[in-house]
Amino acid sequence: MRKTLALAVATIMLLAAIPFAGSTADELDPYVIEFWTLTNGVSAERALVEQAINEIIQPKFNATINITQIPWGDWWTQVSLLNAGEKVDLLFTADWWQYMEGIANNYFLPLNDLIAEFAPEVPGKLGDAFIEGTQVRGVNYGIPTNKEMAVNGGFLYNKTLADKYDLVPDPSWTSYRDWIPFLEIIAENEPDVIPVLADGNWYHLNWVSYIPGDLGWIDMENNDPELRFAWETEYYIEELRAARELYERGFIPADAITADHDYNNRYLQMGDFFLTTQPLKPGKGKATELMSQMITEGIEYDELETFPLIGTTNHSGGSMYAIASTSDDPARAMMFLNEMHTNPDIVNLLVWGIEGLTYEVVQEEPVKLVKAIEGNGWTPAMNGWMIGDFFSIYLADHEPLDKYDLLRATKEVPSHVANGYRFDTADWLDTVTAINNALEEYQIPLRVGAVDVDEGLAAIVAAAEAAGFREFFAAVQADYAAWLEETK
Amino acid sequence: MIPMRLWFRRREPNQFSPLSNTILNGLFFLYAAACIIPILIIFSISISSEESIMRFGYSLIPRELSFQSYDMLFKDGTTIATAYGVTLFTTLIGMAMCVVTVCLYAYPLSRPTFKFRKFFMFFLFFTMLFGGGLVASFVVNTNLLSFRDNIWAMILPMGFNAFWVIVMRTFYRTQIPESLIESAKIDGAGEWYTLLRIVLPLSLPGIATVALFSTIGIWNDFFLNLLYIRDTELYNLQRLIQQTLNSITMLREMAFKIGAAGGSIDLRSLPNESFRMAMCIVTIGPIVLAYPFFQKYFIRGLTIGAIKE
Repeated sequence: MRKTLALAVATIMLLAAIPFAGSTADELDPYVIEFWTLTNGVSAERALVEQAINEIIQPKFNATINITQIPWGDWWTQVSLLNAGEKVDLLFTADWWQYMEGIANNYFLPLNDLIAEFAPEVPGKLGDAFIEGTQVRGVNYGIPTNKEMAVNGGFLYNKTLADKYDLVPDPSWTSYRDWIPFLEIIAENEPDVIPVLADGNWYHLNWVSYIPGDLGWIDMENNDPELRFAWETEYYIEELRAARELYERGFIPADAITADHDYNNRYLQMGDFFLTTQPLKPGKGKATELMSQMITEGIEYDELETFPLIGTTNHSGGSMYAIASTSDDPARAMMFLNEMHTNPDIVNLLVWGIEGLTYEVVQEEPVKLVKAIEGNGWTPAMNGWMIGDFFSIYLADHEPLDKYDLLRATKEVPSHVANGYRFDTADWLDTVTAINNALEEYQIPLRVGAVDVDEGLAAIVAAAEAAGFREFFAAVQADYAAWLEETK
Repeated sequence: MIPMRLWFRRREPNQFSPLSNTILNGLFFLYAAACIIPILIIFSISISSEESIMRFGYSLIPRELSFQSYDMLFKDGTTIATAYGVTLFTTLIGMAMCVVTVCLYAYPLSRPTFKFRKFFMFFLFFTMLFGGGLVASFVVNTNLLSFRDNIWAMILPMGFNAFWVIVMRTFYRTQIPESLIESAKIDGAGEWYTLLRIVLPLSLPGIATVALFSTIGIWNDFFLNLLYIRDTELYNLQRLIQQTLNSITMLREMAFKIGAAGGSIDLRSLPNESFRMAMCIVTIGPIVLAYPFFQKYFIRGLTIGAIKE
């Protein structure tokens, strides 16, 4: 295995050394780019999409593409084949999808030189926050998707029901507790509706941990350099008490504790709930998106944002494409990556597929609007937010026309002082796993309010400490302080 | 009610008492129900409309009939229809191959007159104890044998099995008397004639066992497919199901982090419940028929034979 790797590295170095003087298609040997993308399923239309992409890229740099759609559940088995020298050129990665582990395993190539040579426009398009936010010790191992720089969270509520009882939430609301008067009305008058849909995830607190790598329990407030254990911060405990009250009064149903993906989707698609927390998008984007996926028609959702936008590592590294270390021709891979960021046709082929087969055009002017064709396998499988230049994807006909302007505006939001900071968990993997397992047992019951707050907190903190939390936390604090010193 | 007098009547030596008979029958009835009811529920979900599942939950009798899931399942060109073809092909060919190789390898090993018996036995047995490991076999299979995205990657590794050779050898040893082979020889039969006309027909129960187990083994295998196949047109049924369920679990765990990163997954992109259940029903289809089919060989094998010792 080591030999294969060494051989692969040698090949790469050899290839990288060959100058691409005036690299036109004729002078390059034909090359097949192995493109691994993370999909929600596999599609029968793949070969046709590949063919359409090849028609564009073959004249440009004499390469063809071989798309491999890897479903979520298969990803890690497939990626581990890189250890056996499996040839891949481009693959998806993200901070929440083991970016650091991939770097530690030598799965990705450093891209700085390749970007400068073959994708010079891309850093300008992305902006500094994205480029610096995805660097590890100054090296880019992935090119992030050009999308919103910061993500908001908050409450999503059933506007149809709110209108029925003339309920207008106050924009300053940030806690479950603020909603109690409304929930009382809903619980009294709408027996078929569950007042609060909860599955143990909270999106309405300033919830984004700024340090990637399964460390969701290390917490900071805006631009506060101090790190804290989320389960010991006051606002978190206060919200746990609010959840407990909601649960005890029956607003959060008792089955929330066993809620799974299907459970949540069922309510979101049927609309028979009043309040839930969701990651939000500018311009009520999340509500629009969910409404388009509903089975019940005629129910409207609305959003209430609960905290200001701020750019963090988790956002800048939220979706990236990396060049695999087993690539035979990283230069060609980078050329394709460049196309993904600069050529709208490529992006739309990857996201929407083929006109007439997987999508149809609803209107051309003034803004091109398209619609997925019912029953096609391509569009539901592919995730637009993973692919290159998000802003050049055609809008779907149910989306607001100013969607991209609103998203682009998030690039102007301030970056958190910790943007770009990543704790390298390589030496601490067992500890992190142990802490996560310890928290796992208590966090969902606590967040849905199913257990007493004081008892639950005592148990969760004790379990985390037994798993080695304090030592780990001290190490993160020291590392973070050193990083601040170095970069700021 | 059982009449009182039956409780005290003298019974035949092998007859159960009515009480234990009732209890045993009752237990087996419950056991059978525990096996069948989940399948019935799965079937019922698969023919319910998605909306009624969401609205009313599961029920043994579907509230709103809908065959939409099966329609989607067998629509031309969908991955499931192709996966079905792949599974059927690999199972049939792989099973045939396994039966032939196992029978042919085991037969000489069972004959005391075979000179290199010990060597071939060791050669076989060694592989059962020591393997090259996953990475080594993966590298050999992909780089040397070009198994990558090749349908034979699912057939060849299943086409032989050391353990069944030992089972089959024991079967020949114990079930085919040496005297029978000797008498065939005296009557002028050659080696091939003895094997094909005397030994194999008497070994049907053994062959059926190997065939049944290899059929089930190949039918249920997704690991080879996972390892060597990335072309979706070569996915087999188990891989498709495993992949779908795995993805749903994975997405559940990742939902929070995906949201945190600004991503979102289309709620409709994953197969809905009735579709998933229809997938299960379709997969168990032919394989439940395999056992009754092979069963007749087991029974016939016990009753026929030239020599009763």
